[in-house]
Amino acid sequence: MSGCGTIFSYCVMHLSLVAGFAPPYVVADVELQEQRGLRITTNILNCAIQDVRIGMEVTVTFEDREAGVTLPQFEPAQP
Amino acid sequence: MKRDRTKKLAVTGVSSTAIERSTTRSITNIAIEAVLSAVTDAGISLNEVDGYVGCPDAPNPTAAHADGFDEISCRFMVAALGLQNASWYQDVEGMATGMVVAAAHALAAGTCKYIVGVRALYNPRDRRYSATDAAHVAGPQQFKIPYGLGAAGGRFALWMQRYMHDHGATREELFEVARNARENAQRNPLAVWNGSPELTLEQYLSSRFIYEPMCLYDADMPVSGAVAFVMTTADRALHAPHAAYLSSFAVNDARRLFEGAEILPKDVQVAQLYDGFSLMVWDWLERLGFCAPGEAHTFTQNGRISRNGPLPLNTFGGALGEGRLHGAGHVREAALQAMGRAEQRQIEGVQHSLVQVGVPERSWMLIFAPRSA
Repeated sequence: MSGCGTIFSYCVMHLSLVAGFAPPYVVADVELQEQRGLRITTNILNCAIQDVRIGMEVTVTFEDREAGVTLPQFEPAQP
Repeated sequence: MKRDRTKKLAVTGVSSTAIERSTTRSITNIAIEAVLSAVTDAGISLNEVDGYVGCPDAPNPTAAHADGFDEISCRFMVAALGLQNASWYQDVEGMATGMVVAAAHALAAGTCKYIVGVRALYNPRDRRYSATDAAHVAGPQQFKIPYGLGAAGGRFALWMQRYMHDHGATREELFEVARNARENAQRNPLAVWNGSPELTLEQYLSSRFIYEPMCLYDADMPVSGAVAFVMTTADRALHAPHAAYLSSFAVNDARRLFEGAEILPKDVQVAQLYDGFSLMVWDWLERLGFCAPGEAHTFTQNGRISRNGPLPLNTFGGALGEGRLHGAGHVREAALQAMGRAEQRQIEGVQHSLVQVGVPERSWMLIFAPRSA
């Protein structure tokens, strides 16, 4: 896996429904470069909310939440 | 060729309890009231009921899933109603129209004479709907909760953003679904929005986002309440005080629904489409063939879905206006419209009353016809 993909869709969460998340934050479906229709639900990090766009190229970044739990998230691809 | 199931079955009783944002009653109390009222409405007594169908899931992530607290299983209800000797009882997955489909199969098998179905929802007063503080999650939730995607709405916001991108749809267009729900709720005394002033575009656009691009008015409200129905065979329905005949039903495949009733979408006089989130109406207008894919956002404009328009939609105010009964209100209204008992909401000349409840990939659909049809 290359860790590259594009944003298929996204939404901005404005309610604090899940503990540990401070709204607003972006939840997105990212379509992975390897296969059309292969999508992962994820967060978009290191990008101003108003700059998030459908079709934006993103790359994976990993966050260690706790021992044994690592979360793949995405950020804008470097040009 | 007419299918065997055509008009062999009917809903002969429907009922609804009060629908409350917050209640001091228990879900058991609410559900039993609904069942007894539906049985009375059907003109029979409880000891004639020999089948039961339920749909107990409390699907939000906060749900306790405790029998008698926020859910009522068929085992629980059958015991509470004294129906242990019923020929058939079952809980079904899915939503209110799924109960009717299950009851239709049981009646068609000939094992039951009268089946009662109930859908009860309970909104606990001391919890925030859908909020979760789970430290660990498993199953499908492990791919959503760690990203802060808890409630169902986020998934539909993702769908909406993509739909707007693909088809040029706007929030101004989606407003019409919420506006229509608010307007129709004024004719439904049960509705939470009954008595609320007209919803304006300005209010809608300036309301707070929940899951942007979805705002407050795009999501239905959690409530406590129940809807029940009685179903029987057509020969018994002849002697019932009123009847909505099931002329067709289908799961997922809209084409089968219309084939079963031998009609086309344009022949439908009134439709109840599930609107747990407003944009779901767009999706199913397209899937049912009322308009082409990508066109629902324009199709719903210019009064087309108003009660005086060519396709009166969610004539009771929908889940948006009445409250989140997971489609049970839709079934009640569709049956009442076919029976000609929708009072000030009644659409004239109803021959085909359609109801769809579900999510994009899983949906149960019915068409009811009046006794005279």
